[in-house]
Amino acid sequence: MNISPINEESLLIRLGHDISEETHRKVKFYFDQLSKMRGVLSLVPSYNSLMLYYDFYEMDYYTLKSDIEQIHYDKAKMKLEKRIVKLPVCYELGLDLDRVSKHTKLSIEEVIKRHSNRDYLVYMIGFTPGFPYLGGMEPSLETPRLEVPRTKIEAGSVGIGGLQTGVYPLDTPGGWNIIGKTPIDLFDKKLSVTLLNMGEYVRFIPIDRKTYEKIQTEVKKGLYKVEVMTC
Amino acid sequence: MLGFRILEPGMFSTFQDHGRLGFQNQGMPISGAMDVESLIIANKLVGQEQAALEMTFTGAKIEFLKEMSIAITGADMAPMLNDRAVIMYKTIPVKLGDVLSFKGLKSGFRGYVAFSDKLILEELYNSTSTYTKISTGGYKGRALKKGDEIDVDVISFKEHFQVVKLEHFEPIRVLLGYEANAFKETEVLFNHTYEVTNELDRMGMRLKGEPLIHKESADIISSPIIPGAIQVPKSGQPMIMLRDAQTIGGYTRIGTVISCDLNRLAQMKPGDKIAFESVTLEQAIEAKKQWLEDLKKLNYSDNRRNFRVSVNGCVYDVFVEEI
Repeated sequence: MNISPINEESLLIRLGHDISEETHRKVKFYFDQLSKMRGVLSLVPSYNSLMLYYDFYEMDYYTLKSDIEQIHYDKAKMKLEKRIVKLPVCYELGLDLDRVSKHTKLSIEEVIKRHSNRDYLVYMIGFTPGFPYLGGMEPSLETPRLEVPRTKIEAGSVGIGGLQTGVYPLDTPGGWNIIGKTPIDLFDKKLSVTLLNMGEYVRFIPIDRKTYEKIQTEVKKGLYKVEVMTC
Repeated sequence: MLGFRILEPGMFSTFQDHGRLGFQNQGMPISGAMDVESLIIANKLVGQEQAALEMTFTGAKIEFLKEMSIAITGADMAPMLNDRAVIMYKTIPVKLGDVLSFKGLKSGFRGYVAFSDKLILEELYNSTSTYTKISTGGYKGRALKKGDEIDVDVISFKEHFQVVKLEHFEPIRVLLGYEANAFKETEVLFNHTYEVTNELDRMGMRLKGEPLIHKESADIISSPIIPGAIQVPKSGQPMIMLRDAQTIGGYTRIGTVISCDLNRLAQMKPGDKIAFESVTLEQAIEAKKQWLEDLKKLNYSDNRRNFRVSVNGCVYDVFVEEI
């Protein structure tokens, strides 16, 4: 573990050098432990580090650094429970499925088969409110980003960019290949809630267009309940 | 009830308070006033602790629909009340029908108007700061447009303050980060001035100047960004991330501008030159303590002069204030 100051009221804790589930577990461990610490105003996890904002009036860097260093990573303390959020995805709405199929030399059906029904780890939320950085995509699905990014990708779009996959929670410009669309809101402004959290898993469940429209209507009415599995 | 109406919005005017700290792990930037110092002082002049109107480059033209008090701080945009020049850093009582306007930018870049009545704005996570990317906060989550009308709750405020503006002359202070090692020579940042380019908004500020050469790659494994972080992509041209910046970034950072100097960055416009100074953590802490002390020591004095006047045998207590 390595701790360094970022400015006079924040510091960075580096816990690894790579993107891996092992490093992620360390990040999540310290995120959970430090969330309870007095004077901690904000904690931002990423693949291999954790940023901590502290109360300038109450805390001092050196004391805080020493307190953090005394927390030893204990695998046993980690909750073994795995939370899997099932996201229905209509792959028929994938604007770039053809492009992905051509590049990967896999049939569209095969692309959908390899993308869906797997558990993707949410490493962190960033890029926009609610945007999950997902890990665990099949390398055979790798497809380079569009040469000319779109000025608008609609909220709910599921995409592949290089070796990464993810879901756009909001209308944003972007260069990922859109392979499907979910009718679920990943960021609910009214309730001020992001659907996904670091450490959870996402499983894409293929649905047809009719089901997509049905769920979309339910979501708009506030009647749809996202399926979450814990094991 | 209706408080005021926007006759002209100005280039980019949004309501900003201190922002929403604590939700960056959900991808939500802190947002809030780019020049927090001006926000704090403007609010103190009208007895408030809420969002103020942050105006960028050009000021808004505002018609008041009821009486209240306002205060103008930050950039000097040559404020006028009913076509008569008014003084900044002072409580200004306005009445129904009064029109506040700004003749043009004289110095700085972002001006602030605070209001004594309570503004009815959209709130998210305990903050009414506008974050336009997700159309949230402030007035309908966007920059103001002509015709917008802002509702207020009436607050009785009868004081008259004035205060002397704080002046800052130091270079912009930077705490080198652990990624400073990724650069061949960090001294380059401190030995040259950098020009603010046109690519400047609430998310960030791109600078032009002597390139900061990387030892190897300019990319890093994506990690958290805070306002003030100086990211340097392959081009070697630094960019300072600001209050609406994405919470996760993928370029090497050479260091971070200390938080109280962000207020000064907020007053910089395209073409301005920035000189950076390297500071230690101790110096950064001292700088913040000093800034907080300076703010505390500001004397908000009654700006009116009091005379006892006798007219035709009757005695009056008269308050006179300079407009």
